Amino acid sequence: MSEAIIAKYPLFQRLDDVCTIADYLLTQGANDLEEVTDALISMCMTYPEHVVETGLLMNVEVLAASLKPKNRSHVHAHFMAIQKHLHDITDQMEAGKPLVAHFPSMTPEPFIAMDLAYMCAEQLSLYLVGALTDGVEEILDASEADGIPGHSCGFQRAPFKAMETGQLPMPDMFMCTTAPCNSSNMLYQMMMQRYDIPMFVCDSPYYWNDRSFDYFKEEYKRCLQGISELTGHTIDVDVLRERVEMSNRQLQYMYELQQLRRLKPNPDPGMHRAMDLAAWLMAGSNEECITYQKMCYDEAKARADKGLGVIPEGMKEIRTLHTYGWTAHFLSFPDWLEDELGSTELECGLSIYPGELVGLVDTTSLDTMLDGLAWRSFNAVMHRTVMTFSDLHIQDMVSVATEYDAEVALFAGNNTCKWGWTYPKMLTEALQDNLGIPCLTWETDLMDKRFRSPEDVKEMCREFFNTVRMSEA
Amino acid sequence: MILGVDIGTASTKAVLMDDSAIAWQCKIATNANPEAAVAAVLSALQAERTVDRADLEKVVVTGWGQNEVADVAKCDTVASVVRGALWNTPSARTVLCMGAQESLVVSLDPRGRVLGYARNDRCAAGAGRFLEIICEPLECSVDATAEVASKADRKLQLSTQCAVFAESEVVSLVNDGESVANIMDGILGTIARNVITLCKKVNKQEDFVVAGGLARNERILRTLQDALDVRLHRFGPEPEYICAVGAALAGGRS
Amino acid sequence: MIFAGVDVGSLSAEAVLMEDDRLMAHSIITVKPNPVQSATIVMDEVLAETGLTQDDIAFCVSTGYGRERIPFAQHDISEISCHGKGAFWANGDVRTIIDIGGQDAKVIRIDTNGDLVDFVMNDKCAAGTGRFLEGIAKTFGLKVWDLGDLALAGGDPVPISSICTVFTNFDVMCFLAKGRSRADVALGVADALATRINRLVTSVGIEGGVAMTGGVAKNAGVVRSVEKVIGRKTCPLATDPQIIGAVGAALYARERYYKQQAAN
Repeated sequence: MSEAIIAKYPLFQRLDDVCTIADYLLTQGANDLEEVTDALISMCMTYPEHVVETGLLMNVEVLAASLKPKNRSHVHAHFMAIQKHLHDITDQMEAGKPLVAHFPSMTPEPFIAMDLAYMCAEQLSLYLVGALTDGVEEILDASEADGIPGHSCGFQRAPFKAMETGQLPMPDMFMCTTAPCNSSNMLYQMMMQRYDIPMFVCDSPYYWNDRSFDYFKEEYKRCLQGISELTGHTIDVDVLRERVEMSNRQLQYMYELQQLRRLKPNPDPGMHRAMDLAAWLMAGSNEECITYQKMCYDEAKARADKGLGVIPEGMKEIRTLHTYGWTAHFLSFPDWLEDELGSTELECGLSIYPGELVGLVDTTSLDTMLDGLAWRSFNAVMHRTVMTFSDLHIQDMVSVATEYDAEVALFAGNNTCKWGWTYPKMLTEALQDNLGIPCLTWETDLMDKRFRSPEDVKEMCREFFNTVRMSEA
Repeated sequence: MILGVDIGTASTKAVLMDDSAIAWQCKIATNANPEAAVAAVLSALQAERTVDRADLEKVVVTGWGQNEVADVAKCDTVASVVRGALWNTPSARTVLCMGAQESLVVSLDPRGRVLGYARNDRCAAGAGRFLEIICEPLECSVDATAEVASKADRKLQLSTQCAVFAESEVVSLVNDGESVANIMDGILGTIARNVITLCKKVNKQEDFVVAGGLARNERILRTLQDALDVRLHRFGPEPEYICAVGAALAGGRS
Repeated sequence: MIFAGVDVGSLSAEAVLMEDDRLMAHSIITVKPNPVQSATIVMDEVLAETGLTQDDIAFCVSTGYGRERIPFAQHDISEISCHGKGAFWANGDVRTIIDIGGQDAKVIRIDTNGDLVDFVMNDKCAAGTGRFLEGIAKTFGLKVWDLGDLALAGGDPVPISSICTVFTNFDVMCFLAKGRSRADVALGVADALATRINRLVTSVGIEGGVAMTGGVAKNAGVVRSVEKVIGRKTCPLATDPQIIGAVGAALYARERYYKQQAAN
């Protein structure tokens, strides 16, 4: 790890601190906040000041949820993975390797195989918003004062303003896709124009079919080629193979875990869904990612073998489909749903990578690997989900609802998500009319907790689940 | 006998349900004080029917103020609305309840299970308060508004949806010599349109039950009927009591 | 030479008479629904005060509602420019103006001549305007100005989370019913208004001295809340902030007059 680089960028330091804290607090054998108090106090007295500062900002609800036996081990494993990832990229940066910032629609094996430094800025800010109470509201306000519209998506707005103010490193190039939306396109272009940063864009087709995939994979390869020419780094096929084999192993666990969620009771806790996306974005980076995903799978499998679920004893399970996705500033939401309302999370629109659809990458040759990786991107969350007239995503959600036997659906739509609000009425109609599934829809902000507070969301959900229960009776 | 009390933002409605029939009802101002409102209802019940709290199987509270009241059973507003609607119209598939500050529309499956619902979010357009606010400069009582509007001879379109700005627009229109009837008709049309927008958020189907204070307004009902193209059933005998009835029948959360 | 400016707002109308750039007299009335009527009445009042007649006025500029229809004005200019000009006259350090009117709110930036550089306006939503305060003052049974004074006495402001004036009014009733002090509720309301205004402020940005104009600027409690949120004190103005628009109009009247003279 490069301490110098981490210290240079405040949000890198924050993130490293969060991981350090997680490593300490989640390995004390403490099951709740009370039991971890002594360790917390000890941490304040013995750890460096910047760690303690970060510690004081920790989202207490997320910490409490992370300490629970059903969540603790794999949450810890996840933060070890992200810390390793952070250390690896800062090492690369210190060694002078060019830094590519990529959109959350691709996995990083090719960048690793080109011996580059890489980061997904959106993924990094997710952790900061999720783990810390001071989130990114100040950064979002600064962005708005700068003239960036407040109704553009915070997912880019926050990390880009952080780059502009030196809190995150400014990359040497961008790689992104035109999917999902105007907001991401506009913001990436703004960064390109303001700072003269080369941008490699895969033109995402509108339709989802063989012809459009043939087009897209050429786009994907063209962008990687461009990065290669710009940096003078070429893909080392052996390294690529090694990394793809790693990501294949990681994703294999992810796919098997999805199958377990079809069981009754659902043996998989929902809080790590957002972390699954984050892990996907690091697929192939390190062994720790595989350890994380395997742990999630092993724990769920152990429960499944005993017919156990994840909600309190005596509560009736309500199998819940999250048709939009998670809310970054309210990561503890799925855990709260489980323990308060018996609502278990089946899948979510922002972390669903259907195994049989996305598939594992054929490692035979460079061509098969690039094709396989392009197929992964093509079908990634925020790519596949936005293609055609939303009927693809709606159909996916209906399939999951049917196959996993969903009983209710929640749509926690990001208010700045241009794509997200085009389809929820059609989706709820499909779920309600065809499958008789009650749906609750609300507006929130992915990153900014001031828009709708977690307390408001909890009130709404209590009312909804109470109403559904009474309805059934 | 179960007492159902709907503590709304403006008024508190209570019904005494004996089996499935309304044995007594009462409506008082909430005055932002839920506990006092419930106490007042119990007093009135004692005074008018000599029924004490001890004679009741249960007191079930619903509506905006339910969280502020202790020692009672509670029922979520949506559940109350639904239960009340089904009591009135067993074949109900959509329910619209127009309150003082909040309008709520619920869609049900053929078995009466809730499929989804929507409320006005952060905005008083389409709520009862809107009508109250503009009744002042027009010097008209809320109950008389439909009657007044029935004499309109011209269709007016207001430029604003906002209840607060509408007040000043009304004053300007009065000054421009526009008749109170035309203005009132325009306002009722605006309120109805805002409610219709809300209804479009759910899958509206027959049979469609309408309730809440504004459901007494014939002009609004007619506009809803025409726009939604479904047969409307007004909750009876009095539309404000839907939640109180529903809460009493539902019996509260376990 | 005597110049006149008249400004018709949604709640009040103002007229000023200036001898070149010296303020002679001013008048403020509550508006009638008809802007021409309002302008005429307030102009007649200020003339009566000084014993002057319409003929004594070299040039008159009108601004605000119905400004194009004022029969005795030779020209009309937007109230945005007039507020900018007027605030600059009232304090030469001013470069940013926060104008909270009866039904809208604006933040205006001016240059070293008092001319308009940039502005942003909210006229879609009553929250953050005088209407917001008016409605709540009514709930308290107070005049709007008194609500501001009450806010000054508050120490622990109640949280106002609703955006809509109607809902906020209701929240206020609930806080009062729960026994929160009137001063604390008034302060919470003033803070809520300031927070709304701040959104406009940050989108235009603060440069140089900040002044508040419009009727709401006379509301000490609101001024204090705004200063708290923007993080700085507002500039004192040489005259009543409510007449700043009319002063700006009169100053533009003077400019126009001399320009016309020079052209002839």
